[in-house]
Amino acid sequence: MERRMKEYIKYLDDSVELTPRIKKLRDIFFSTSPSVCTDRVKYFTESFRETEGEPTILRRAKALDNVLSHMTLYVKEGDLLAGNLASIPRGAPIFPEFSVDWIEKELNGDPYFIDERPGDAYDVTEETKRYLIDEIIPYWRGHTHEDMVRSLLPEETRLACQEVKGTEENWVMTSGDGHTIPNYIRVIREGIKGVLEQTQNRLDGIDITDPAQLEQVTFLKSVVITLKAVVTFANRYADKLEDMASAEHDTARKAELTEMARICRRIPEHPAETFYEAVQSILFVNIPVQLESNGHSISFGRVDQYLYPFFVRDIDSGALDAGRAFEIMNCLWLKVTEFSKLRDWDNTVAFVGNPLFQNLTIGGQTLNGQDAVNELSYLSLACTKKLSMTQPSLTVRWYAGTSDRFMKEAVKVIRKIGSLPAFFNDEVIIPSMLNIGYSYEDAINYAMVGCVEPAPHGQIGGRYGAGFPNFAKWAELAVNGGKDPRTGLTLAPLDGDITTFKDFDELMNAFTTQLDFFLKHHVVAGNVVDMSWGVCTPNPFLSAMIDDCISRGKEIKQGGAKYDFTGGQSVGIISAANSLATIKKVVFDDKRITAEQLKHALDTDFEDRDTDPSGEEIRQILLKSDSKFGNDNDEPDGIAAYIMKYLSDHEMRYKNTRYGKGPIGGTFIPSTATVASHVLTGQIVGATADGRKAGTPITEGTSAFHDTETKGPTALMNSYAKLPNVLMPGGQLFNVKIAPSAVDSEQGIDNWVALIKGAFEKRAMQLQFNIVSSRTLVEAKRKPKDYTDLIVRVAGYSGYFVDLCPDVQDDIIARTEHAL
Amino acid sequence: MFFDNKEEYDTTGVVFNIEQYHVNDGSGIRTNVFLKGCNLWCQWCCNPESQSLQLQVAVHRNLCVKCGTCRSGVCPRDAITADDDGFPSIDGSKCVACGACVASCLQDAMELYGKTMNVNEAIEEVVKDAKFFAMSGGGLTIGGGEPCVQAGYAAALAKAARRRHINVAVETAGAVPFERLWSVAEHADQILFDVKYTDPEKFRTISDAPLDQVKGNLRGLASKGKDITMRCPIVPGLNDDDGHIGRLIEWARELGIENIDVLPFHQLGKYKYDSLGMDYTLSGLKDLDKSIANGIRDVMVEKGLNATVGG
Repeated sequence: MERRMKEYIKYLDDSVELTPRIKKLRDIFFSTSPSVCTDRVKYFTESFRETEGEPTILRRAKALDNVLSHMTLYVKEGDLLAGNLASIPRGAPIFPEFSVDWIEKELNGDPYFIDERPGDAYDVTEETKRYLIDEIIPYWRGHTHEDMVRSLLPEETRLACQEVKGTEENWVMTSGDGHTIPNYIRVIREGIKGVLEQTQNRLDGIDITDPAQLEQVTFLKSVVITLKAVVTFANRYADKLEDMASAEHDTARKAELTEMARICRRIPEHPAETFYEAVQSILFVNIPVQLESNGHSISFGRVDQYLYPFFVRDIDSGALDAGRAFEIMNCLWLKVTEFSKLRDWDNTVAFVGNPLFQNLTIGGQTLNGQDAVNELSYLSLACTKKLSMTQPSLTVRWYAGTSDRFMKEAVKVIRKIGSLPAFFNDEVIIPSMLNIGYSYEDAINYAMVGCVEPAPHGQIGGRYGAGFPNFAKWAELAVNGGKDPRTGLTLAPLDGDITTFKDFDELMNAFTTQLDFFLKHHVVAGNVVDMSWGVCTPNPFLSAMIDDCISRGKEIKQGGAKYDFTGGQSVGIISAANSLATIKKVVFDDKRITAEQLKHALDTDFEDRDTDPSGEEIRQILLKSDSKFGNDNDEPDGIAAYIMKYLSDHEMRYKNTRYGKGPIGGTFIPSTATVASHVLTGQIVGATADGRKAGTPITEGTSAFHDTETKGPTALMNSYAKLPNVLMPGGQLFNVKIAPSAVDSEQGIDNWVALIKGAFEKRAMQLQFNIVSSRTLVEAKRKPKDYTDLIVRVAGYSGYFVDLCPDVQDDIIARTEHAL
Repeated sequence: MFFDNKEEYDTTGVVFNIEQYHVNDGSGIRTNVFLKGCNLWCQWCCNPESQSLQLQVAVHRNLCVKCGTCRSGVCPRDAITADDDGFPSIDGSKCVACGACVASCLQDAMELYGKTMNVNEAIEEVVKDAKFFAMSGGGLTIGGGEPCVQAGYAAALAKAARRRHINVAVETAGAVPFERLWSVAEHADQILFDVKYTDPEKFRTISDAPLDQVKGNLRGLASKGKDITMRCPIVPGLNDDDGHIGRLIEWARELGIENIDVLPFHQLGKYKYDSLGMDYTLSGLKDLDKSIANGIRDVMVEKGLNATVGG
């Protein structure tokens, strides 16, 4: 075992190169622009036109069947895996049933033409434009998820979300859900056949005289249609591959194509018997889920664990060798990078970098508490290191028994490619899951979904990505007596404002009053979105891939999943804590300026030069005040912790739409998985008392505000460790930027691992790093063509720096760089 | 409680800085406690605020806007006047370093160097990073100034750290009687021993103590089996000659010291001389070229030493 491990660690050596085949496949990505693909929208709409009057879930099943039966298939030259999401690599399917209004606007150039966006532009042909405008959009207009959400949204909630924007909920109003790990393991072990048998048995056993059971029939029939459709999809590849094989002159490639055809004929219908088959099986689950649900973050789970038995058997029998296993895994990594998703412009800003958040988890512990790291864990690291691509998002689980050797190799991957993998702490995450009702067996087997959201395998029906509650906005509203300076609206009135508050407690109460109000509407908006998804866009195939839906006879949104939570993505918590702590110190404790002076400075965005001190001088006082999270200073850290605890207490009291319908949970849960929304949501927040200018980015995740953590990385970690991380079961996000020169020696690597381990032993929850110097980033912004494969950690995900919007680029450049 | 120890509360000293996450002053991740007061007067010193044992108020002229706030009755001893350029000038004979002017400055242009802390207060700061020390093989580094100027305090601090199972490094120039040095060093796991000059005449320009005492102390510590790293500031024109480098190597080999750090001269401390109103004689000197520093290291490595640039 140990001897074999060493053989695999070798793949991380700088001397190991990708095979020519893989290099070619990788080049396809960099030579192909993202584009809009009409395959899905065409076949989906075609089917919908024929099924009017039938139940929505059945229509969607039939529409998915039509898509999978007719969409263009391709197999790239030299590829070892089959499966495509669109007609060409990096093509983005269209999901008209969710929303068409923004597509129409953007096709007409409002605010940008899709192919002229400042970030994440997509090629779109004239023909496609005309087709969408003339034939697709008119059919769907007024009948989409977004329309349903609009009609369901209470007026006060609309004002809170869309006018004051105290919580940003738009992206889930125009997109699908996603955010889960389908049960790949079941399909690998039992095949679609096994799932189909269970579904058929359930159907056969139904007493149709019982209305409750009668209701289940449509769902189960829809499941049957989609399961069969997926088998058809695989068989279409088999046909295509057989044709390709017979036309192929190169004997080696001919043999490969023949083997691929054989595999696609067998799986996913039947259980996988080899490592290779198991890997291919993953894709035949993942791709249909994506085509059905329009969600991102369809994650892969603990790939190094569930593929391992197949790997060991094949290696031991000699059917597989290390080199071949590495190539097959490279192909999986590259396949994931081909996928693309088109979002509306606002959400493109929040999710910039064209990420699909397809997280893949390695490491951690086994059910019995043993170190789970195996050869495939090292091979996974090697894939990410050698390919240097942004997808899949690679997660490394750490627990008290994880070896330093593994951690060292993992941080060396970051050093090489700049940002992946991210690290997650079992010692906090597992208790956080137990705390909200997960069984120990399911919690210990968690993997990451999307950015930082812990989830069990094949047991949760999505819904981590709710809206972005904007804590910085609430701090601004508290200072202003509840009145929003931007819109003039007062939704949650307060008795007085900062100039009349007698002490810090009154300010804090004002803040929590705003929190209570907007949290409530965040929940209302979240539930409205879920109701609409349940009515407009039920997902029979995904439901079949999530435990208990079939046995319960319920689609996910009806309460089919074993576990079900709704997770908000809190943004700007640290901006709020810094602002409140700074007001406490500067105005109430040290009395360096008065509340009136502060309010005037904030109202004028620190631009008034005629006051004494001037606006800019006040800004400097606020900026330099030792009252910022990230310096191991108990006061701001304590305020941040208080806010987080308060959030957790209050958010978890709210029920989601599945409460009491079967799943364990059924409540909202907090997280700080902000993606890049801190740039978008910062745009509507005025000047804040931490010295931040109006409209600029607020804080992401739980990370410190840039340039305010001045005592080095250990103090930063100490601050982080003081937060009630265990009360954030939806996940924490914590970014640290490190100077490349800090980790260019073995000693630097050792200290880096020590820093992560120290932070994790002190109960930090998650850590991710950017190892790119500010100078490089500035240079890359200036000369994008020279830096096409420069990867940076945007938030809970990584993206190509040159693809990002200028605002986001600037924000990343500004984050404090730590010398290790 | 186990760590409660009367000595920790009763022993006070003057600390001018506590910095977390030092990675070049001993093994692993370390917190440095810098003690005020030095018995040497090296002209290249990059921490001039470390030299005096007294608390000091500095005026950073680059930040000062001459608003006059600090002169408008803020000082309880009336020690601040304006100098010819309009910057605050502090009368050292009146100033008691109470910090009132520092607190009043809106520009953060005034800074108080030095804080009187008992050992417990200092060690409480240090233990904050204990987890990171444990993970990295790091610990506390007591530096200065010259820690042996406040030997009682330094020793008590080292003992307090060890009581908490924290590794201790002491950085010293060793220009004190051996008994005094040993009173601190006996509680240290690692000694960072600064060797500035190996020429007795030159050494006399920065110290009252004879060079023989320094070398004797180094030998003494080595003979007691202490883990020693020689730390050698290299200043262009002063001690970058081959003779000095050769003698450093001789010393190390003779005393069986394997680790040696080349510390290249830099100008980062220059502004602090201005702020403290102190003369700085090396302002025209260039930083030691990196290639020269690397060259010196390479010579040392060739001679079998474990040499680094910067530690």
